Amino acid sequence: MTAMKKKTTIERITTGVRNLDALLNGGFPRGSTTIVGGTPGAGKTTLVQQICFHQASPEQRVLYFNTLSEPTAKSLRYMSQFAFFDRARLTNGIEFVDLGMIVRTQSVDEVSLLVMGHLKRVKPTIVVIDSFKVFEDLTTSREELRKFTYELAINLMAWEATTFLIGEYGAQEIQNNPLFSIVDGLVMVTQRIESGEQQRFLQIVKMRGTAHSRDEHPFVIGRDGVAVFAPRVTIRREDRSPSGPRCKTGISKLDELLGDGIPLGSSLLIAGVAGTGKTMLSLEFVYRGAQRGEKGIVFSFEETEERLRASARGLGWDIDREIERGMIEIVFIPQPEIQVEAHLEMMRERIEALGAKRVALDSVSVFLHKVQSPQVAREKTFQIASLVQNAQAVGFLATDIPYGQDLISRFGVEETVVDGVIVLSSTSEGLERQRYLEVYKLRNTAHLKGRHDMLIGEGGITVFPRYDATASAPRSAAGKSTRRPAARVASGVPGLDALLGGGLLEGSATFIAGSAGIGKSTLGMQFLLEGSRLKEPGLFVSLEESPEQLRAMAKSLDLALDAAVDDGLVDIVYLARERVRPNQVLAMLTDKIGEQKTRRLVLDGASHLLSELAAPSEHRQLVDGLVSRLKELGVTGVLTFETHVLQATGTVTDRGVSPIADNLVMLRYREGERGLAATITVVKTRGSAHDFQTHDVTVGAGGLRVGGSGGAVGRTPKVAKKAKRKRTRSP
Amino acid sequence: MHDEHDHAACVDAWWTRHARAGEPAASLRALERGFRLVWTRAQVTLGDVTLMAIGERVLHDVAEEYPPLAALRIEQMGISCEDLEQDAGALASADLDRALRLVLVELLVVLGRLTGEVLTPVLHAELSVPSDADQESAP
Repeated sequence: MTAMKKKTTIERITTGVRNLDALLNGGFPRGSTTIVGGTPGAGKTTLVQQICFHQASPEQRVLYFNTLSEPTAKSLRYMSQFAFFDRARLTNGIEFVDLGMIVRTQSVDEVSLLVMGHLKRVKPTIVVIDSFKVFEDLTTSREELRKFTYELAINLMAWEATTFLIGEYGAQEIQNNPLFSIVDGLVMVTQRIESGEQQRFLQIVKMRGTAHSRDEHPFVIGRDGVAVFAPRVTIRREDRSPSGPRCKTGISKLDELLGDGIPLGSSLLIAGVAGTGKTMLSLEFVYRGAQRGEKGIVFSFEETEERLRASARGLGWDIDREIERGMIEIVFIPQPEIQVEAHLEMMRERIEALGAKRVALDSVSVFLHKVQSPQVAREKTFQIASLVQNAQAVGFLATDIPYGQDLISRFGVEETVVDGVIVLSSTSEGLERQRYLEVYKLRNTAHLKGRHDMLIGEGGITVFPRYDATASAPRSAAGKSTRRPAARVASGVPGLDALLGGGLLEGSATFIAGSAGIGKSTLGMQFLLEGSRLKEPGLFVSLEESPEQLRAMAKSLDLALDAAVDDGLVDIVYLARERVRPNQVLAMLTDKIGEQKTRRLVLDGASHLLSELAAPSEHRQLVDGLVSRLKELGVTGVLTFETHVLQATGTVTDRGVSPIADNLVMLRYREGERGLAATITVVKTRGSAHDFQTHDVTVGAGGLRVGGSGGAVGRTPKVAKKAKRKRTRSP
Repeated sequence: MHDEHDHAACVDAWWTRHARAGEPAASLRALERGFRLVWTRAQVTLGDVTLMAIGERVLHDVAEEYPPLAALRIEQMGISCEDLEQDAGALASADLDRALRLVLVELLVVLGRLTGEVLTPVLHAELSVPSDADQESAP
């Protein structure tokens, strides 16, 4: 009784036709009778002959009846061109029988007897009647045709022959031809113009006992015969959770935006209008991966492999080496040759064969350029993402955004099926074009939002994370300051230290504001030279004077800047202010500080950075970002701001950024007895008592000095005296 | 799934009850009766046309191995051994017994394969349940 409860599985015969078995859930049921219908030239005969050659052997014989359609001789000659054709099987596997004569002269009953006679003799596994349509002409009524077909089908079934009845049947006949209700299966092959091209399609309309695909699937007939493409069936997203650490792109600073990295299996749209850098970003993603030991593949539909190689070489990448050592593969498919379904499967095969962990598609919008429907575009994009997901790779899918539209993909639906979107954009600024990168979306990853500057130049792409975004971003433990609370740092100007209550607090930010030529840069140099004396590396970032000018100025003031630079304790970086972009400074400084292990930093001419920005709120964001970053890195900073006023005290920096400073030092002129005299006022110190009085300063040999003629001149600042007494009393 | 061995075992049991060694006539009756039981039960489900086609195939296959069995005929209600009975001498009785038994086995095998063994339990039951007629014809 147990046997009665068991489900029996129907034995199936495989077809040897690419993907057809998958559509049939394993193949044609053994013993079934199937009509293969379609218009002339659609590929019916080739399809069935391919199945026959795949199955034929001395043990599994094939009986192929030709009726009044294609003569056997012709059929054999055409067939011999295909790779599946095997001459040996014609003598020991497939037997062709021409029924032409008997069909012309005898009744269908005679035909039936003849067929049965051959059946008893050969005992075939497969029987083909090509074409069966001829019997519609030979029978005198629908009833006769039905009876003939029924009895033939029964006899073929009794002999367990899997039968294919080929015929020029149209879609309209499915409804009313009795033949279609008798047979077990119906496969229709058609051809029509689709997306501007003549294409072939196969559809399994009916197959008893089989959970088969019911969709139309495109197919091609090539040297290997019929190949059906069915990504909807063959590319199924596997339920896989990320199997390794997240992907770091290796592209300069981009990973800072991407938080912990991109989860494996993710696909990101790289969206932008033409010329925004999509191709280079995708290519560099693959190239950097190869350098890290991750294989990558680029599917390009516009640029040939040689042009991509040339572009890479132009940026200084040794992509040729990575290709030669098998880490990168570039697959170029000319746009006119794109066949979406076929190439989706090709992509799967190539990704699997290479073991690619990085996949770039340039571009998905070109790949799907013949697709007119957003729904189809969405489905195909999902299938591409599934390929990436199943390979546990990371995909960069470039896509063109139409100009002047508020979209981040061509159809406006692709972004819904990918895991992330990076938007590339550019704006015209003066004579230059400024590029931007924005991580618009990245699932399961805390990323930096907003638009960030991006450069493409020697070495590749550099992203400059926006100052305000990075300032608010959580930092790793490694990035935290190690400064000691309340430790003092000598400014290099003893009188100023006295005004500040003993020096600058370590890790603090001091803003020095004053008009041109009053001594701001000199003070900055002294600050670094004091650090140099204490072996604390210092960085002088100048937006005004070149290093040569600074060194000459230092020499004229007997400041040993040259020696400190030669000793490697002071580094001077000059940023031509007409070239520098505020967003890029933060990234550059972070790198430089990391390299030099900077303890003291002077940003001379910070006001020039601010002049690049329009809104006061942006001024505050930039300065706040800079100061926050310096504090995180444990750097004591001095920022100088040029003011337009010589004497006024109603404003300090002119920029509304004073609240951000820990120490605010104002350099101003006053009317002296013999003309203008420079003064210094400590307007603010955070966390420390200080002297509010204005003191004269002089700039001469040895630099800036507090004290001189007039005002509070000549007196030791009160705060310093108090602080000294306090230290003396302390145990 | 039933295999050929199951069908052979079922037919062996039937043959033991209904055929007699060295008596061709008894073997022919055993085939006719067994064939008819299976036929009648399967006819309800499969219909005449299908059963006739299957029967023809079975006889064709067995006759290839035992040519004298080409004298057997498929009829509306089963199998006719009349012509073979006339020519029983063509086979040694031991071979005849084996050949006739094979006809019944092949019928069950083909029916089983074509129906996914769905009918096999009831067809085996037909041959397994003793009837009054069995008592009469018991050797």
